[in-house]
Parts: sequence; structure tokens; C-alpha cells
Amino acid sequence: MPTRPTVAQQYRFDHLTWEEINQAAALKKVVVLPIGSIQQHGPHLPVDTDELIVTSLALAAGERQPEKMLVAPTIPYSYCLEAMDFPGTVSVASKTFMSFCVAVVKGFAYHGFDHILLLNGFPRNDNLIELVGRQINLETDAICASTTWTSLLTIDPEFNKSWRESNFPGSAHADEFETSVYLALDAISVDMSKAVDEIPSDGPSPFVFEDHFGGGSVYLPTWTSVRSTSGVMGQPTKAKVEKGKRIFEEAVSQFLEIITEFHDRPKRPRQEHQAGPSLGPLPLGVS
Amino acid sequence: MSNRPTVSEQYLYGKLTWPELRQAAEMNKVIVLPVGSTEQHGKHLPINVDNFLATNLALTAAQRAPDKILVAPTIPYGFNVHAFDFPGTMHVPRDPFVDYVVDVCKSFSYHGFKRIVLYDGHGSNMPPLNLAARRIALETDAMCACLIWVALLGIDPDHMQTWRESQIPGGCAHACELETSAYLHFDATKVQMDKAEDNIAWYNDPAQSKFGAVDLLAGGSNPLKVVEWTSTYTPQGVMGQATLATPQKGEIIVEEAVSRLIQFVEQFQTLPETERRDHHPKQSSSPLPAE
Repeated sequence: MPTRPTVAQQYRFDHLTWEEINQAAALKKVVVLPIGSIQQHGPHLPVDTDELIVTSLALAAGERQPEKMLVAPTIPYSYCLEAMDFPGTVSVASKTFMSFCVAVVKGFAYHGFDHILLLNGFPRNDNLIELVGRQINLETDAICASTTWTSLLTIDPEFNKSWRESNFPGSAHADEFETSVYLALDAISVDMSKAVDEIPSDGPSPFVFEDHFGGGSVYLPTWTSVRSTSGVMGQPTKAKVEKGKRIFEEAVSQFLEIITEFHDRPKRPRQEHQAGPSLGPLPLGVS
Repeated sequence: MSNRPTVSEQYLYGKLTWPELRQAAEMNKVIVLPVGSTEQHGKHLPINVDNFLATNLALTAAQRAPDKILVAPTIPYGFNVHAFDFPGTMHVPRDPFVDYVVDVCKSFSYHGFKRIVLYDGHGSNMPPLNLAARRIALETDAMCACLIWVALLGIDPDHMQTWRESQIPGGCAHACELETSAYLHFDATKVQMDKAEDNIAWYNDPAQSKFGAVDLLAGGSNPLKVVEWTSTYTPQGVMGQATLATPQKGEIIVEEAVSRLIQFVEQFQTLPETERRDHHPKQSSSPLPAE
């Protein structure tokens, strides 16, 4: 029978008892909250792609650096209304989704965890998750950061050149990139015989284009089904398990560096520059 | 390498592709959505008890009836502020919690899944989840059932006698003989039985409270419901007799809960569609006061 890990060794928030949670907070562990999405990923990838990748990434990092971090249970469903024409996609209203996240993060702060890192799995939600972090930082004593996992791969500007074969731009969803990573994590669940390449039908525009690693300067949202008939945006037929393993490894090691920096980042004191005491509450207006 | 399961064999919602989910909806698979909680469970159990049990029970049932059940990803945070004096407990307020569950189920219904089970692992989720189920029933054309897993242990009134040793009422209420046994059955390595303690909350003493007893298996017998801060009636977070837990009891409990869930799903799947009858002389020109 395996021995039970100590609090320093345990990297899963929810595998601790309440007494151990106090110890983990005293150890100044960073709480990592993965936020996924359940949505269509073409005819070849399961709908749990974002949730699987972001959860696996957080756990792989935790396994290597358990003394600095705790991985909380993944929030599996998020805002994804644009993909509702594809069966299986789940969408939660944006306001509800953000309120749900804020409540969970405030829970960590209440129990004494003062560094919380939101790890986002669905790039299109990075703005919503940034709003969550902002609200936490202004309304609690904790410091809350967010990162979208795809951004971990642009830290080293040379990295993506080392594996990418698909065209730029146009690699944005269920593409060479996501398919390779899914193959590395759970190849049995991928149906490569159904993988089709499809470049979004935006037409050539210097302003409006999408890519996991650098979109156009203008964001012009619409229904996913307008832009892709299969749900794919990119070239998943170029996916390979070896590429996925290298991408995942790069993401884990960059994420560990981020944890190390964020773990030691102080929350600096606020300076209020009003001439006198304020006459009303802050216009928070959100909950 | 094993083969990718067919749509009929696959019981995990998240592992299907979108064309496969269209097929799964056409097969009238019943969605089972585990809704748990991250919450203190005494000194001997991890805080994931409610997520862990609801998820594992749902998966065990689905493995036996994959053609009928699709288990959706578990919602791991629930309604819980009363337990906040115990570190690690997470809470989502009523409105975002209910709205979140409703939107997830509206998504399922939008894609053609018309039988949805909210499968709860946490007692205090029940009032908001009942509200969510009611809203789904009235705001979509899906049928939505809501149950807490322990409720299925009461269908056979004699079943409890096959395993229970703890005091009635009060021996099985939280992190107790029941929950600890079920956890031991699925994963004994996570349970610290050397730290298990018993605590019978004061309101289970008939001399102190005639109407306010609380037990997971006493059939909702308490007419007087009072929810106060958890820390007012338990020092370590246990309500019941955790020290009486064994994996053998857990196996009996899990087997009953799983087989009853399958029976319910089989019945739920074949329930005929119901028809609403609007008795106004003509369709109202005003919208319903929904939500």
C-alpha cells in the first residue's frame, strides 16, 4: 500500500484534509485553478480537449514541484456560445461563469492562500478570466494571476518553429497543435481517420485572421459554424504524437518557471491619492 | 492498443466528438451530471469526498449500462458557506450555482439530450439543485431528475440493516460510517482511519431536540430544519460514527446505490414525454415570469 504523501509532497488541493489545508496555506503554496471548456473539437477530437489538456498540464507541473503548488479541481464548463451549432458544446452564460470562478477563488483566499493562479484552457475566454483575476486582486488580500496555456509556448520565440508544419495564420482550433497534444495525452480517444484540414473561411484580410500563436489586430466574432463546417480551424492531419509530447513538455517546464516567479511575487501596498476620505463605496458593481 | 469505444459503448460524455454526440442524443442516452462539492470531511477524509463518491458511483453505474448512460464532467464546487470555518471548504453562492447548473443542462437539452439526471454528492446542494431541476423542466423540453446518491439507499427499507451499526438517527450524517465506508471501498489509501473520530451532534439527542434530528438515511424524518454554522455542532467536522466504517460495508453500500441508479435510469429513459396543457382561453400576450 502506498504511503500517504505529506502536505509538502501532496500537490492536489482536494486530496488534503481540512487540517492539512491549514498546513498547506502556511507553506505558502500557490493554488492553481484549471479552467476548461467542453466544446466541439472537430470530428476527430473529443469535446473534453480543453479540459483534458489544462488539467493534465497542471497535474504534471504539480508532480514536479509539489512543494510550491496545489492543483484544485478543474472548473469544467465555461462560456462557449459561439460553438453551440456543434452538438456536445456546453456554454454557461458569461456572467454566471465569471461569478462562479470569483466565488471559488474567494474561497481559496478566505482559507489563507494568498497566491492563486488561474490556468485557462480555452484561449477565447482569456478576457473573462482576466476579469476574474482583476476582481480578486481589488476585492481581497490575495493576489490572483491568470495565464492561458497556449501562451506558454510563445515564451521561447524559437519553440514553435521547431515543430510546426501547418500554415500561418489559420491554425486556431482542433488543429495540428491541439491534436498533437491530445495524441500525446490519450491517443486512444483520438480518431485520426476522421481528421480533416480546414482553414477558416475569413478570406484574405490583413486585419482579421486567427491563429493560436498570433491573431489579427481586429477581433470580429461570429458563430463558429460560419467559419468552419467541420469545427476544425487548421491542419490536424499534420498532428503527430511526438510533436504533442514536445509541446506538452515545453508547456509544463514554462509553467513551472511561472509558478516559481509568481510564488515569490509580493502584493504591493495600494496608495490612495484622494485628498480626503472617500464619500462612498467603490463602484464595484459586479459579484 | 485497445480500440476506441463505439458511441454505444462510450459512457463518458467528454470522450465523444461532436458527430458522435449527435448520435448519442439520437440513441436517447441519459445524461448523468455529477454535482459535488469541495468540503471538509473531518480529520480522516480528504475534502474531495462528495466529488469522489458521486463521480465514482456514476461511472460504476455507467460501466454496466454504457448504452443508456453518459456521465458528464463533474461540477466540483457546490453550495457550502455554512462549513466555511473548516479550511478547504469551497462555496458558490446560490444564484451563480443554480445558473451554472441550469446553463450546462440547457446546453445538453439544446443538443437533443432530453433526459438529464442531476446526481448530487452533497446534502446542502439539494435545495439549489432542486430549483435548478425545476427551472430546466420549465424552461426547456427536457426532463430533469434530481437526486442525492444516498437517497437510493432508502428504496429497500431493509437494506440499511445489512450493514449499519451506527446510532439512528445521527450516526450517518457527514464524514460518517456511510461516507467513510464508501470512500474506503473505492480508495482506502486516501483515508486516515487512525484519525477517524465519532461525533453525534447535540440535536440528535431526543432530550434536547424532538424534531431536529439529522441523518442521511432516516428518510428525511426531521420536520424542523435548521441550518447553522457547521462549527456550532461538530468540533472536527464529523457528524456520525466514522470509526465504525469498513470497506466491506462500503462495498454493500456502493453496490446498492449503483444498481438502484441503473434501475432508475432505465425507467427514466423510457418515461413517455409529457404534454403541458395551457388552460387560458388564448395564449398569453405576456411572457412567463421565468427564472
